[in-house]
Amino acid sequence: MKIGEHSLSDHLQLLTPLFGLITAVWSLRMVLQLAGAPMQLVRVFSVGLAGSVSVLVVTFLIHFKRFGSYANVVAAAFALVGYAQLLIALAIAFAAITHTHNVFVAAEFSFRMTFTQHIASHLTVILVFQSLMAAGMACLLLLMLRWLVPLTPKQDIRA
Amino acid sequence: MRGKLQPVVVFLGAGILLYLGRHLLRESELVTWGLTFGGTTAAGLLGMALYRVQLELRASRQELAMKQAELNFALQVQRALFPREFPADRGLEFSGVCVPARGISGDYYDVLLLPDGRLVFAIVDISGKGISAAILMSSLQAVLRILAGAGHSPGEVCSKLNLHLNQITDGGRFATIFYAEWNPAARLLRYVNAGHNAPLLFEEGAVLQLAPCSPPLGLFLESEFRVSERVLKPGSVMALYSDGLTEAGIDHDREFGESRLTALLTEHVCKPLAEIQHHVLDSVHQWAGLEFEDDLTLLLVRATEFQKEAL
Repeated sequence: MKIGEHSLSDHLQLLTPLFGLITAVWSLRMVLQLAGAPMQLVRVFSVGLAGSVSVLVVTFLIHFKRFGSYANVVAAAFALVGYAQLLIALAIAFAAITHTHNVFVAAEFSFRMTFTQHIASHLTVILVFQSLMAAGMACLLLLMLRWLVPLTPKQDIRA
Repeated sequence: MRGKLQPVVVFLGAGILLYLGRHLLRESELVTWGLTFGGTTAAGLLGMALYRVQLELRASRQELAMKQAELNFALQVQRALFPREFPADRGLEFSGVCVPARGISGDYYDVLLLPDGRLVFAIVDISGKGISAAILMSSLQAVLRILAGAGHSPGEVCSKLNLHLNQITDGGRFATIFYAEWNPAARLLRYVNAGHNAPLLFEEGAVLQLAPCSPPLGLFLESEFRVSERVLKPGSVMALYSDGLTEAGIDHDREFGESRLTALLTEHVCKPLAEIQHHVLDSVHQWAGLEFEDDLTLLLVRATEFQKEAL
C-alpha cells in the first residue's frame, strides 16, 4: 500500500523516532507518578502534547525532506495520534488487569468511567477527534510552510 | 479507484468510532485538546515566521555583501583611471585627490604628458552621483585621453567630448570641465572652462578666478568652446576643485564655501602641494564630517622654473 508515492514502511521509518518520543513521554509520566512526583510536574509530560509536538515535527520533516504532500502528513498525524491513544489504552488496561493505580486512571482523566468505558473512549471518540485535529493542524502547517518557506525545485545535473 | 476508496474507508471508520463512543466524551477534554493542538500550531507558525525572517535577513546580507564587493571592485577599477604619478620637470607640479561620496565617483581629474612635450590637465564633474555618474566618467576619461593624445586643441577636445556626451545621454546628463594645455617652453596655459567651478589662481599675492566662458558638456549638440590663454609665472598656484568641496556641509545648511577655501589656500599657498591638499581636506572634514554629500575633487598645480634642457 502506498500513500503519496511512499510505502507504509517508508512512513514507519520516518515516524520511528517520533514513536520513540511519545513512548518516552508516556514512560516518564508513569515513572514520575509512581515515584511520587507532584501532579503539576506529571502534567507537563502529557502524551497528548507529545503527540501534538510529534505531528508538528513530522510536518516539518515531510516538507523539508520533500517526503510527500498533504496525504502523507494526514497519514502521519493519524498514525502518531493512534499510537499515543493505544499507549494510554494499554496503561489503563494494565491498571485494570493488575488492580494497580497509575496516572492515566486518575480521577481527573477518567471522569469516573469504568475501565472498559475509559479504554473505549480513548479508542473511539478521542482517537477520532484528536486525529482530525492533528490532521487539520498538520495540513495548515504544511500550507503555511509551503507559503513561508518554499523549497526550490530540484535541479537536474546533466553532463 | 483504490485511491478514492481510502478516504471513504477512513471517514466511514471515523464515523463508526464516533457513534460507538458518543456518550464517552467530556466537553472539558475538547477544550484541552483544542488548547494543545492550537498552541502547538501557533508555536509552529511562529517558528516558521521567524525562520522566514532569518532566511530573508541572511539573503539580504549576502546580497549586500555581494554589492559591496562589486562596488569595491568598481572602485579599484576607477582608481586605475586616475593618474598614478604626475609628470615631472615640465614646469608644473601637481597634487590631486578625489573623495567619492557613494563609493565610486562621478568626478575625475587627469594629467597627461603629450609626445611633443606639452602637458594636458583637466578636472571633470559629471552631473549626478554614484554608479551612473561613474560609468559616464569612465567613458569621458577614455575619449578625453584619446583626443588629447591625438594632439587636438583644447577647443576641439571639448567640442568632441560635448558631442560624445550629448549622443550617449541624449542630452539628459551634463558634465563640467576645466581642460588646460600647458606649453612649458612658452609658459603658456591654454584652457577651456566649460561650466566648471572657477579655478583659483594665486599669483604674486593676488587671487584670480579662471571663470567659465563656455556651457557645460553634453547639454547642447553644438556648443562653442572658448579657449583662453594665460602665461603662468613660476610660483603661481592653481586650485582646481569640484563643487563637492565648496558645497560640503550643504545638507546641514552650512556650506564650506568658496571664501573659506580661498582664505585657507592663501594661508598655505607657499607650502608643498601635498601639505596644502592635506590642510584643505582636514578643514573640510572638520567642517562637514567624514561623509560628504557630493564627490569631492581637488587638483593643485604649481608653476615652477622650467629648464629647456630637460626636454
